[in-house]
Amino acid sequence: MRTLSKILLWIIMLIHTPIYAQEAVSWQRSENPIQSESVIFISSHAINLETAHNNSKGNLEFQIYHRFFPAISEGFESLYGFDGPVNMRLGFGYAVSDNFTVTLGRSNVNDNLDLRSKWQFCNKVYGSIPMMLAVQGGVAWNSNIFGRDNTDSRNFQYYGQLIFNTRILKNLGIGAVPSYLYNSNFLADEYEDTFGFGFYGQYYFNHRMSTILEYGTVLEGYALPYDYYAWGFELQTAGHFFKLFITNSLTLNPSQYIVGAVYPFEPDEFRLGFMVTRLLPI
Amino acid sequence: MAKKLIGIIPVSIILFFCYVYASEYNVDRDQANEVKFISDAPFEDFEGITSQIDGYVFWKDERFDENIDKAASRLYFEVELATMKTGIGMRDRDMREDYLETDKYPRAVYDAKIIAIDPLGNNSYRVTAEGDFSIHGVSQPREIIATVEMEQNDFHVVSAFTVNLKDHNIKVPKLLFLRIGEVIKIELDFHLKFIK
Repeated sequence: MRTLSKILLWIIMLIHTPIYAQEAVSWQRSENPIQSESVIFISSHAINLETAHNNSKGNLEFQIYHRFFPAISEGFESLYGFDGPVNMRLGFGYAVSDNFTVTLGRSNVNDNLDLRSKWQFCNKVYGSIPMMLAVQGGVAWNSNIFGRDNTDSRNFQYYGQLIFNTRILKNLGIGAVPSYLYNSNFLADEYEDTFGFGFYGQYYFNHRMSTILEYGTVLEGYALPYDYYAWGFELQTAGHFFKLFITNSLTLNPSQYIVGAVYPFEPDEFRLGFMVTRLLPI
Repeated sequence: MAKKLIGIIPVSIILFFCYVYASEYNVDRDQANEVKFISDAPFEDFEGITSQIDGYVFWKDERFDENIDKAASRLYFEVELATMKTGIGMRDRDMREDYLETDKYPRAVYDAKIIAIDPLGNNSYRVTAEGDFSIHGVSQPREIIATVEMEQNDFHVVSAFTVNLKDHNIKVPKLLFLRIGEVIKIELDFHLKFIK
């Protein structure tokens, strides 16, 4: 009988186990950690140089760039350069993924058609140091060279750039961009190369306004007489970036600015530049 | 021994009739869930959006209707604040680091009980919950109302409520001389899946 009693007790306990089992909540927090992404720059460009920032997948960036020929020193008569003439570039950059963008642009400097792609392969925070790295490669076609067939192979230039971005103060992002340009002197009879180096810093007063300083020099190979500089301000609002700056470089596409500038960076030679980009989700 | 048996049988009977079936629904993370933090101010209106909501609802009944034991119910939802995107990376960063301090307080949490269920027809209910809403490490008692629609065996939940940033010791962000709204509207639209 004692055995029967034990069996009965076990049966009762087993029957009522669900009462307690059902009261326990099975939910558990997902173990997937939230990855911290670095935010160093919010625009895909500093001024001439690209940042490692990539727009979100599916965004089309419409780019309108201007470099005004008349020097600011010409004064009101040429509206400080805004009267033009002007070097201009129109471009479309499509973010194929969150870290890959393809851009097609055209500037009126030698009717330069520029096709490039940028791959952001690192976007992390190491300890307290944010880091973004990207590579960019492209081909430029100078489609209107006097005395040469439009499709002459000498009209094509090829380039590659490594883009390194980090932040040294909370609101100060910096970028270093070593570049290589093949056929940098496309007007010459012989092929020449150029190794260039660009640097920029951008200080954000807040998430809408910032100031940018950019510098580019030639390390080796064909070069124009001067290094180029650009300094100005960026305003971000509702999907637009507006950039107004002074510079001694009137070129717009990578195959053009990597080789330097025609004018010195001196007050009498300062030119105005203006860029506007618009993000269009597709 | 007969006395023992006489004792065991009534206990068993009582326990049998006290048998409680419980239901649990968890946030279905495979669905298109959305939590919006909306600031509506004259010069700086924006929406912070994330899909990273998680949690559960639990009650001691097989069915879901106005007759469940509300005192024994529990709902718990949390939102990963560091995943919120406003469309401007710099603003996201400022919000994470300067205002929400997500390293220290990574989640907004609502831990509550159901206090009322009002049928709306067509398998929909107006559910009122009472509990604590916590963000930035500061917890405040809150009554929150949601519309819950039963879809086959799952639930679709839609809710909205407001949060005063000062109530949770969150600095009101400034943009130069402009201020964003002190009161943030939170909108939730998410799905629960049946667990048991």
